[in-house]
Amino acid sequence: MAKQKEIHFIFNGKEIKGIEGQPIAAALFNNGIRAIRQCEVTGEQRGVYCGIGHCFECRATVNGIPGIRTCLTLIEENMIVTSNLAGVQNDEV
Amino acid sequence: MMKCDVVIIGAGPAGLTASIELALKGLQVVIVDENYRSGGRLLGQLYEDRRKKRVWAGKIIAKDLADKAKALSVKFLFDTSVWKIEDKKVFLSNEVVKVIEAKAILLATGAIEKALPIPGWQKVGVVTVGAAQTFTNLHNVKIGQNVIFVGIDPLSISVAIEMKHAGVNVKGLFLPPTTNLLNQKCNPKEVLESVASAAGMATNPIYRLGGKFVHGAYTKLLLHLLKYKQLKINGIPIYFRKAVTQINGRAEVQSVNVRSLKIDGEVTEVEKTLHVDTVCLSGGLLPLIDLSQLANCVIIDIPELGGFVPLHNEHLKTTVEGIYVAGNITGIEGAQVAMAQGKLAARSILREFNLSSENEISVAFNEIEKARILSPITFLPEIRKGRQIMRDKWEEYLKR
Amino acid sequence: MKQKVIVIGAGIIGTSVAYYLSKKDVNVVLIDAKDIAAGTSGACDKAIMLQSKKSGPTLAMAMKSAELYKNLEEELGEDLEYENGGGMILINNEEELKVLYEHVQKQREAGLKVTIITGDEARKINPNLSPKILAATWCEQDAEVNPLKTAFAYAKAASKANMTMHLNCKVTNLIEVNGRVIGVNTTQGEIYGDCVVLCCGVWVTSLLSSLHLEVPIMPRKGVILVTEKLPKIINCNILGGSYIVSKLQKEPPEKNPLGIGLSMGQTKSGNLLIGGSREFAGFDSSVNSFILTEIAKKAIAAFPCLQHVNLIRSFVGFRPFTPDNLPVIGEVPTVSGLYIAAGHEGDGVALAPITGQMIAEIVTDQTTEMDLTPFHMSRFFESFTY
Repeated sequence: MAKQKEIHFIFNGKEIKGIEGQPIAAALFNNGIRAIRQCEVTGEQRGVYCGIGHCFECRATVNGIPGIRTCLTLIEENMIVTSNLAGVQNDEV
Repeated sequence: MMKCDVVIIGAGPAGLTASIELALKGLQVVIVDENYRSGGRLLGQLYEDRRKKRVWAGKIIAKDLADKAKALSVKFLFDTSVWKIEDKKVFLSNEVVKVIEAKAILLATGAIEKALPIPGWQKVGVVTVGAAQTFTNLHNVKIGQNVIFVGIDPLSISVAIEMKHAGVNVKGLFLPPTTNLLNQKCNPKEVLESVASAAGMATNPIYRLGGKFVHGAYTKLLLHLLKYKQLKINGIPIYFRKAVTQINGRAEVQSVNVRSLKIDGEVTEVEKTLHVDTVCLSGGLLPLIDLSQLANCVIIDIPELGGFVPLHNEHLKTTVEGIYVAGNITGIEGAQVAMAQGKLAARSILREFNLSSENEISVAFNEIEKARILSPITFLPEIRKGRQIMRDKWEEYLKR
Repeated sequence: MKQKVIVIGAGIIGTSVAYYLSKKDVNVVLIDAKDIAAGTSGACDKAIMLQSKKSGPTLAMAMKSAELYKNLEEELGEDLEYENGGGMILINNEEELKVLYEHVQKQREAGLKVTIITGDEARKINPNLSPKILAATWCEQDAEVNPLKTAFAYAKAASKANMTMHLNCKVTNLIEVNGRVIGVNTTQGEIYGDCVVLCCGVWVTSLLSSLHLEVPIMPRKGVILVTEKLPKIINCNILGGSYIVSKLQKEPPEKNPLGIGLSMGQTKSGNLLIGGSREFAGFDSSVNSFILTEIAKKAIAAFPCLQHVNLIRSFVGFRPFTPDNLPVIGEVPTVSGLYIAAGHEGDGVALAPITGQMIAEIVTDQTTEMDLTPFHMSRFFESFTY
């Protein structure tokens, strides 16, 4: 089997390693990250729920575009993923 | 604006099969899907098909279908949502292609999972059984270390087994608590009955338990099984007499509260805490009908099919001229039935182009029942009754 | 013996009428074909806007109503998501400024605290506002409320005061004997009472027609877009100037048959409600791509940050339109024992408390604090023939 290509991207300021062909949420899972954003009203953390793009709970800002579903979006080299999680440093707003 | 003969929405088993059938006759077909790849629900499916003595690997079936479609010049638009359908125009979220005009539209949008809103269900680490399946089998991700399932049905049982194979500690399957919202899922006897009848007899894991029960002694078997508070399938405990009443954890899931159920589903007072980091909820599937509503199709409620569905004739034509349906949008069944429906819908559409015969349509129609008989999992026990109600409602609609 | 009053319609008007009646120690029976706030009151925005009202009887009523809203959460003991955060009408150009300046003067004369502020001042209140906005009106008395929560809270409070509720119960016709209404026929049987109040908005005409009466209330379809949950995008009620201006200038409706304008509010859970349209299309609840796109364009023009925001749904409400834009409140002429409170069009949320109070007064005391003449149904009798 051919060696899978490593992809590096940034999630809330932290460099994450993933494999080519993985959606963002899967790469985060593999790095032990399950909390993707927080509820805008209660501040409670949120992560993947339905896994097929229907619930929008796993959304984040990807390369500056907000509201992107991380369960449906493939990782790309140098992709910048940010969210509103409290206590994280984001270069972009 | 892009133009083509047929737009198919949904690149799952129904949509892919339909696209091939249409393209084989030379029609220009575009498939739109929100995901980054084709396959839909097929992608997560990985289970043993006992009757055919082989493994049903949805990912491979999906790839074969997609390769064939691509070879036939079917065009795919991924990462694209449809936000409106009107006058045979499909409006897209795509930055490049904003509208597609077609002569016919096939809605093959599949199903979503019903919510199972037990307290704490919004926490990080609570996922639907479908998400668990996709992340385990497709993305090769361990979604947790210590996992339980809430909701006991053929799908949750099969995903639990798949997860165990992937090395996850599956601590058991439980029922949701009885509430006004969820009452039909919580009576131990009814759940056991539906699990036992939903899966085809020969492949039903319940029937394989210990191998000591004989086919036919059905009622006796059920009563016998209910005496146990815990059963095991492939080493995974199934608790027909216990309900998860609450999911706890500050940010992520840390534990669940479990209470014993009386045989009629009543929750007892004694509460125990079970430490887990992940909860998979299985509340059943719901046809994803939003686009048929936006297209002004007549919608009717047929619980035997899984809820609200677009009214359609037995050749999968809806009440709106040029709009067809196939797959779980018509009622909840397995991928094999969806594929057979995709073929029938395609032939119905081809009929409009004078590219298929009545005979070809009736052959495709009959293949659906064959697929149904061969399906390893039956999701809704009264599906045939539901299909009959749909035929009756269509007749009523024509006479209105 | 206590007076028994049948209220038909459990929207925000019907539940308000039921509540204020039950406060007057009346036996209330509330009936709805569906559920509480299942019709127009469940398909609207959340504004209690005063500055959009024409000066005159509606504004006077709205100002009294706004006072009642201030203590309503405390009175009903419920969170209604009430917010007295003010409101602004966005002004895009000099022409709109001229028309709205006159409008503001008239409202100030009527006692409303409303001013014109510069674009920069408006952007201080709403930093996400487009730099292209020239100016805005500002009224600190404008407020917001959750109409669903309000209707449910009114019904709950009235139920505590012994109101009986029949939901999923459709009134098929009014029972009239010798010129007096004595009850209603429903899908759940006959219900008798001393009088009947019609609070069923756009659905009032079919009930009146069973008595050979007509009122020119028509459904005016309004589309509202709902965004995903967002952090605070706006800090008050927003209304686009162009629609108000065309209304004030009495432009013929052919110029904008879909009545597309801009109204925005943000719910407590973070979703933006973006209106809207005003269209006569009967009870057709379909939404087309053109309306959705046009409304979204207006919102993005005013708030460019909405460019990449996801819309999660749209919905349609049927607002009860009247030709003179005034609601119909009071006794129904020629029949005794029958009252009406309907035809509020887009002002139902703002006017609900005062409407309930006025009906309670007229039903129990036969007199009201405010003059009901401008709202009387008989005003249509001269210009409408049967």
